[in-house]
Amino acid sequence: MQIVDSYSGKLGNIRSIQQLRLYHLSRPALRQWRKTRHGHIYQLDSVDQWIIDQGWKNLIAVDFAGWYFNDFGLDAVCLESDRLSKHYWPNSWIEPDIMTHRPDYLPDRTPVIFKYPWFLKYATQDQFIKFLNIWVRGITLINFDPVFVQHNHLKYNLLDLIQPRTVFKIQEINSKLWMIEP
Amino acid sequence: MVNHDHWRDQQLNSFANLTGVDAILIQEKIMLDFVTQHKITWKWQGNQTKFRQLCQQYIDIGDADCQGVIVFGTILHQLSTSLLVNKIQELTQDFDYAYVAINRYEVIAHDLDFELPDSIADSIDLVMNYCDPRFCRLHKFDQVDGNHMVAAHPMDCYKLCKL
Repeated sequence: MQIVDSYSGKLGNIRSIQQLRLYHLSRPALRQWRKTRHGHIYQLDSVDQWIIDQGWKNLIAVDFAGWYFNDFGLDAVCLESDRLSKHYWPNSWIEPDIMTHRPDYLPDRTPVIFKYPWFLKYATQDQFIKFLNIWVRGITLINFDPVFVQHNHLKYNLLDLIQPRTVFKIQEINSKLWMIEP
Repeated sequence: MVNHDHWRDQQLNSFANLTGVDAILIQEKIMLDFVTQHKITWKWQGNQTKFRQLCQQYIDIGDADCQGVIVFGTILHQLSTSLLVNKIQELTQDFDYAYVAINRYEVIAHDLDFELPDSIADSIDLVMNYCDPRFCRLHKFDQVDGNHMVAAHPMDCYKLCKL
């Protein structure tokens, strides 16, 4: 009997088909964007619309196949953790350690968007705060489910736990969308 | 919406280094270690995955004259603490033994008339104790593995032995 005690540890590699499946699961907009190559109209969701309503000229789209923003008049720099993205958007920058590394070539003042930050799921509060300290240089938008950052979600709101531990201004746009500024 | 029956097997099949059909998660091993201690018939109230088929090699699973019950998965979906307590009491009341595994992220609100401790693990312990003081935690995971396996089989696992 083989015992699995970690998803990504000593068991080694995940099969390539599963890698592809996970890649698409964490980038649900990609399927729709691919259809636009065949004449379909891209349907913006409420987060996309909120971003566009801000009137920003450019943004940094981190790990969610956010190149579709270029079709809506924004100049989107796309940072991706998986080389598969190069097949869809050759101009993507590939950075495998996104949670703990903010590349120096990114400008500080351009808004940074994390629309599906898979790495925040099951992150500890310390890891989450470290992530904020690394990434927040200007406006940073995070769309995530705060319940899945480890804390007692039956007793506390994550924001109430995180805000006193950071110097950043955190604004809750809605229950899953946080805008963070230095 | 994830199909949990399919998800668990799909995730295990995705490991390039796993070879056999007998691969199980560590929290499933904890359950197996408990239920195999008791030579009784168990009622299965868990997800219908390959793990159920594997368990049938080690324990008697039936529908009638069962002394034990195995509860986990989608049967405990999106509940408040009071609904969780009602559900677990209802599912375990007719049995001498029970294995219950809670997905902490499927408990979405606290509406019982007592205050919870600061940690989520202690809070779930308290709620299970409220269901029946004889519930004992089988294993404590300080940090969950970060990818997908929480939904495959919950990590807050409890045993109940009434005899």
